[in-house]
Amino acid sequence: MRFVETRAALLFISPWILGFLIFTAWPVINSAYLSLTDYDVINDPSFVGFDNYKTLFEDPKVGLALRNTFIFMVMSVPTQLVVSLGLALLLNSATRATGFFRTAFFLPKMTPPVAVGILLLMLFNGQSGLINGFLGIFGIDGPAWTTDPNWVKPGLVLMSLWTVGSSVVIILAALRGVPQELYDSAVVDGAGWWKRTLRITVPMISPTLFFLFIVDSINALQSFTEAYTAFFGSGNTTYSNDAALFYAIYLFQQAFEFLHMGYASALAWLLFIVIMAITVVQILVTRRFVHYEGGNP
Amino acid sequence: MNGTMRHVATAAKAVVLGAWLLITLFPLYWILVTSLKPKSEIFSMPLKYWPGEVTFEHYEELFSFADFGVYLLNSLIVSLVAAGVVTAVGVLGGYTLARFAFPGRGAVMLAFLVTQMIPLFIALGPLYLLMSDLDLLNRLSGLMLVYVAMLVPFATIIMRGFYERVPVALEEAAQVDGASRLVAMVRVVIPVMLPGIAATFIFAFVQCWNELFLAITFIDSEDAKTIPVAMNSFITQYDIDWGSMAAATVISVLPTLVLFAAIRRYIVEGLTAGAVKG
Repeated sequence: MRFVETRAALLFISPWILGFLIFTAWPVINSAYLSLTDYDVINDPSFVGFDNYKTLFEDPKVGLALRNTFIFMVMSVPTQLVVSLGLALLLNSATRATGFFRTAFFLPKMTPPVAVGILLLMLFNGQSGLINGFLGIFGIDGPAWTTDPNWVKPGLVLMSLWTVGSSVVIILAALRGVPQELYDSAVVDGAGWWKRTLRITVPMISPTLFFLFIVDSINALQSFTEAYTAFFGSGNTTYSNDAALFYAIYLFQQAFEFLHMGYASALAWLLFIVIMAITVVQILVTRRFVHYEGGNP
Repeated sequence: MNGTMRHVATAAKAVVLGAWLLITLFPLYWILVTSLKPKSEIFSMPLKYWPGEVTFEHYEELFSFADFGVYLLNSLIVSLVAAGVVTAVGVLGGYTLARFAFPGRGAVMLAFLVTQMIPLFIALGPLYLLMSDLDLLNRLSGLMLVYVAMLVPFATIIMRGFYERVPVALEEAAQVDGASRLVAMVRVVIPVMLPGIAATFIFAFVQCWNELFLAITFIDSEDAKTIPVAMNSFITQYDIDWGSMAAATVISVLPTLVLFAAIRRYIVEGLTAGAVKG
């Protein structure tokens, strides 16, 4: 029986194992090798040792792309977290139509990222965009969001807030799990709304906030589609802009526009190391503030 | 808190939620309106919140000049087939992880977590070369294959979660009544699971439908482009045809919004499937 079960289990799970070996394990190993070669897809790869990694540190575009990506992450992740926490708290305390709002807020997340990139160009257009049209009502002369290097990243951050609905849904689910008794006894002790939120709600859902913080940061470091569509679409030089050159975009350009496969692989490994380092630091720094019910794991 | 203050607080909440609702929905409305405006009105100032005259010229243009019908069909084929395969594999794999104790179960879960941690970028170059070696570049089948490989872990984990909600007693009762394990699964478990299976299919479909990064890597020829790849190339150096672009955006958004209505209840599961503890 046990043997039969194991055989069936392995049979059922084999598509996944095969997929993992062919489409994840092998490419990752191969990429580590490619990163040590000079390879233009047409000619055979030639081994160059750590040359690609040396080039990384001298390439000014790598510095620029890393800086852009960090700035975007630092601007967007906390903003998204604060906005989604605020909305989730409001929804949690609302009595009517919560389901409707939850659904509506999630809608943008279903929109293709390419469409989000196009929306960004239309809404944030300096002359005729909806945003500046709206600001104009109050006599504010809005900036050239899509062409002024200083305003490109704020525009991308604001646009990223549009798809904050998934975080709202996750936080809302966590809020529903906070035991009501905690609030009841706090009310008896005379704690107001702010105090209850800061002392009970936030600590109780801190594992969820922590999870979102890490996942959002990792995603921000890999941002690609929205910015690529808006500023780097094929043949698009009018809008292309150094301010929107995220690391993933530069990597993609190196691989498929300049056909520097070896160099692009080295770029990918640097990104991986950076992501790992940032995640570890975030975990070490924020772990002290995370409260796990039933003790820290 | 006295009565008046409570009313003020409730009103303030309603205002903030209402404002965010407007922020959420208005861009979608705006893109729809833009797609129905004649060219002369798209950039008219002050902004026109309703088209002076409704026109379908941008949609006609999209399908007559831009081959949008081909892209639409490509996207549909790739997303439907890939999501179907992913769901079938997920149904089996999820059952295995939820119900079987087998050596290597821990390793499989670990492999899943590793897959989630590795940025796609690392595998991209070698994947491209692999596709090229297999002669699968610029082919819908190649794109389907990669999508299936990328989404199987997600589908398996989310299905495992759904199985774990179905009491084992249900199957055991059927087996006591003389049904084999397979029959018990097909006759008793699968019917209970149908909503979850549908949700997994839709999640996978939407992922494929919206995907640009892999599609743009593996697809370059006109006859194999999916909608995101085509839309990405609409923005050209000298001319941005805003009307057609708005129309394309509306078409790209429509199916996902319709499907979304069907899976509202499962959003949380879909969002957190990648975050389960092993």
